[in-house]
Parts: sequence; C-alpha cells; structure tokens
Amino acid sequence: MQRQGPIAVVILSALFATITFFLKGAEDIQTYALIVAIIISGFALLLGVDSLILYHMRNIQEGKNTLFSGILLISFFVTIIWGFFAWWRYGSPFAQNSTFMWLFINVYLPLDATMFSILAFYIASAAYRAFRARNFNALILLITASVIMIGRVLYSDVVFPLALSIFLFLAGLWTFINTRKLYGSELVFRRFLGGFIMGGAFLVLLPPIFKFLGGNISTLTDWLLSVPQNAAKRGMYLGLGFGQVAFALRIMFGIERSWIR
Amino acid sequence: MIFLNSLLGVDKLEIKRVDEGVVILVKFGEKLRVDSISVFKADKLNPREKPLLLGTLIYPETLLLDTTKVEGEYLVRVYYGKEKFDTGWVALNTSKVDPPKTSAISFDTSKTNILIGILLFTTLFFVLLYMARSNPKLYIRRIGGLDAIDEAVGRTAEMGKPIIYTTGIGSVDNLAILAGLTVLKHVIKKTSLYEVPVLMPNNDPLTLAAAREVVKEAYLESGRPDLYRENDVFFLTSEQFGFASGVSGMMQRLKPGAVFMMGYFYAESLILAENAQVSGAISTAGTVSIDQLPFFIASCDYTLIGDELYAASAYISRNPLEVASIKTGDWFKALSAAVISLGSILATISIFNPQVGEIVKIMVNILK
Repeated sequence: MQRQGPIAVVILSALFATITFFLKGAEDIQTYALIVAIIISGFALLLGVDSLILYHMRNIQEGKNTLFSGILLISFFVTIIWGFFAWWRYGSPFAQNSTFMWLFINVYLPLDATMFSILAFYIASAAYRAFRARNFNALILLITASVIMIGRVLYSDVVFPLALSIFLFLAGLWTFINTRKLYGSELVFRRFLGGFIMGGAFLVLLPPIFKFLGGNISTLTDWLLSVPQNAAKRGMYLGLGFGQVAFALRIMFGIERSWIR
Repeated sequence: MIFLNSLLGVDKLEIKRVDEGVVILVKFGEKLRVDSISVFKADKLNPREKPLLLGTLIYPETLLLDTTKVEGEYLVRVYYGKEKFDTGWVALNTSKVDPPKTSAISFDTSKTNILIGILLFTTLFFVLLYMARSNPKLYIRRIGGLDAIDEAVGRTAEMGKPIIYTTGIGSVDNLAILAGLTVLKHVIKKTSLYEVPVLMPNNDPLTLAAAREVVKEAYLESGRPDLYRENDVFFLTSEQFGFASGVSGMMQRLKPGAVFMMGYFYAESLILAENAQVSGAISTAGTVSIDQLPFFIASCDYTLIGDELYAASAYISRNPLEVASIKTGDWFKALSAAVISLGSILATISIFNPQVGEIVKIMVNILK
C-alpha cells in the first residue's frame, strides 16, 4: 500500500490533468488544482528549512566547514529576526522604507548580481575550449560563431571584410610556409594554394567586393540564425516533445517507478 | 451598450462582455477638450478597498480590456485642462451588460488534432509494448554519457573522493527533474558497490523529499541500506545563483571525482559545468533545456542531449516496457520527419503548380 497509494494518486492526477486540458470551461478547475499544488509546496518549504538547519548543525558538530556553516546559520536566523522586526515596525517586511528591504537591496542583490556577472568570464573560458579547431566540425563551429559575432557588432559592415581578409591572409601564409616533408609537385601545389588564398585576402579589400561583403553580413547572420540554427533547434524540440510524451506515459501507467520508494 | 452623456466631453462609452473579459470602449474630445479618462473597478466584496485602476485612456477613440475576474462596479474619472480638473469617480450603470456566461464544460474542438495525436501515440505505445514483451531485445543506440557512469564511479572510488549529483533548478513537477532522479538511482546502485559517497544539494524541498526516497530505495535494492546517510541529500537554497555558488563552493572544497548534472538548468549551468571542469572531476550533464545545452557540450566531458535524458532510465534498465515507450517516440520522430519532408517538397512544387499549394494548405490546417 505504501507503494500503490502514491502511484494511484499520480495516475489519477495525470488523468485529471489530461482530461481537463481537452475541456472548454474547465480553466477554473485547473487553476484550483494549481493553487492546491502551490499550497503543498509551501508546506514542503518547512522540510527544506529543517534539512538546511540540521545539515549545518551537524557540520558544526563534526567540525566540517565550521566557518561556512556558522555564517550560514547566523545569516539565516538574523534574516528571519530582521524580517519579523521590519514587519512589526513598518507593517510589512517588504515596505519600501523597511530595514528588511535595505538588507535585500544592499546585501542580497549585490551578491546575486556578482554571481551572475561571473558568467561572462565562464562564457569566455568555455568559448575558448569550444572554439579550438580540433576537427572539421569544430572548425565549422568556429567559423560560424565568428561570422555571427562579427555580424552582431557595431560597424560590422567594415569589420567583417577586414576580419575575413586577415583570416584569409593568415590561412594562406600558414599554407605557404607549412611545407615540411613536401617535395616536387606537392610542394609547388602547396605554395600555389597558399599564394592563391593570400591573393584572395587582397581581393576582399577591393572596394566593390569590400562593399558587397560588408553590406550583406547582417543578411548572412540572420540567415544562419533563422535557417540552419532554427532547423536544428526545431528538430530537437520535436524529439523533446515526443520524449516528454513517452516519459509522461511511462509515469501515468506506473511503468516508471524509480522516483518512488 | 451604454451611452453616457452626463460626463462632459465624452461622446461615447460602451461596455461589452466578450470571451476574454469586459471591453470598455471610449470616444471623447470632439466637442470639448478631454485630457484623459481613467477607468477603475471597485471590488464588490471589499467596498472599503480603494478602487483598482484598470487603465488610463489618452487617445480620442480607444478601448480597454478588463480581464480581472473580480465582480465589481466600474468607475470613470475624466480629466480636463492639462489634468487640473477632473469629474471625480463616476459610477457606470452596467445593468445592461450581459452577466458572465456560466460556461458549461464541453470538449474543446480546437484541440482535436492534439487528441488524435495522443491517441495514435498511445496506441502505437501499446503495440510496441506487446512486441517488446515477445522480443525483449529491442535495439536502442548507445548513449555515451550513460556508458561513462561506470568509468566516473570507478575513477572516483580509486581517488577516494565523493560524487556530487544535482538535478538543477525546479521541482518534481518538471519531467526533466524526474528523469534526473531515475539516473540518480542507477548512480547510487553503482556507487554502493565501491562505497563512494554521493552528495546531493537540492534547490527545491519537494525534490529533496523525492531524492531522499530514491537514494534510500537504491541503497536498499543494492543490499547496502547501511550506506544511506540522510545528511548527504540536503537542501541548499531555492535561489538560483545562491544555489550555483553553493554547489560551486562544494566542488572547489571537496574536489569530487565526478559531477553529475542531470535535470533542468538555467543560467547557472555554465557556472556549475566550469567549476566541475576546474575541480578536475569527470563531468556528465544531461538537460532538456536547449538554451543551456551548448554550455554543457562545451564544458562537460559527457552530455546527454535533449530527449536522451528521458531515455536514460529505459537505456539503463533495459526494461521492455520502458524500451517500448522510447521506440514509440522514435517512430513518431520518423513520422514527423516524413511529414515535414513531404510538406517541404510539396511547398516547393506549389511554386510552379498552384493546385499543389491547396494540398499544402489542407496539410497545414490539419496540423495547426
């Protein structure tokens, strides 16, 4: 019964949610069910508070991370007391001039913003790893990402042809110089290819080509985002949708039970 | 329909009930200069409460939609002379407005195509279920991230370090979190063989309760209930970046052998993945959040992409019943790909032959 009970509740709730989805005029019932879920999760918060306090109390008892756990517990209780004080003093802890709001604006918000701003540095380090041209796929990613990044900046109509010219010149130079273990016709072909690519770099700088490339970079960026990227995304959404339905059916029919004891 | 001539300068004021709520249409300023009209609603149940401002209309002919479901009395206030003068609150006679429809519960015909799709899916699911029972060895392609669990657990055991497991942000009403919990069970079963501790910080109290049950059950099933420590599955915080900083701090201090991030993630995904990488752990991630997937792919050693996370429990257990559901999803994916390809070909042909365009329109209307 300990196992069957919750499964029966899940099956009935899932059937209820599915049926009300297809009914017109059942919005109030759905809203009511949502309110019930919110109330239950509100009670569950007590469970979280209990776990938090016990975890850090035990840490202090065992001498593990005493400093961090101590700071957390002190901050936790000070915040609660501060909130009650502000409630008594200002009528609500969230009143605009309350001391609790001062705590929120001057302590919590800067800490939150700090963590969020750290993301910029993590993006740079992740981008460095992702953009290393280790294989052909990574090279395509590098080129596409570079085009999109350049296409989204100010003066992209000037920056893009210049960047393309520099890229072609460097690629041509590398091809021209990197001729170790190449002899005879292979060496001649490699040198010719390098020279050809470097020639392309100068060709890009010719005013009509420069203007054409600069004028079409935003179109190219938009196309990359709305056609190949969107196609891949939609494919994934489709897979996700069917995956979700399959997983939901497994739960509804009680096949998937690993989430329950 | 109500015409109000008592309000100076207001030419027309209509109140009409529509499906979405009540529409208030105002026309003013033709005879006398009116700056604006504010529309309020007084709560009938709480008459002492200040009337709620629904909106201020500044254009000579404009309408306002009231979607609040509170029963109340409409009041207007008309402003003149650069808002120096106003009429005060004037109640509107709404007796002629139709009362709200007591909508009888009926089948929503606009969702017929969804119902047919779900019925087809369920039927195919049962057919494949029958087939899976008679032939339990249905093929599922390899999922690298799940195969790597053994490697990650083995390495952690050799290092004598713990494993950190997180299901990300969200409650158990999110299917991705539930899928993350099913993988957790498998990880716990593996770690119990080598007595590797698994630490699981949680962002949501309901997830915490479910995770504790899953961990307890997994230890019990693997015959090692003595390894279960309630304190290893704990609540951290429900704040997104507080959670990210807490888990990152744990990774930096404990230097875990492996980090599993299976569930639903938002902007904190990269913070967690990069910290796992920096701490030297084998990092395995799985999420259905498409916006966060590139970050995981860039930073983690193994990533379960999209619906691979939902397929994880079937892949691990090889239970024919679960495998059948994965197969159903695959069949539907193939069917969708066929329909999309057919649609694309027909849409291309319709450029030259307009009659084909009609077929495309019918297809779109059916699927819409």
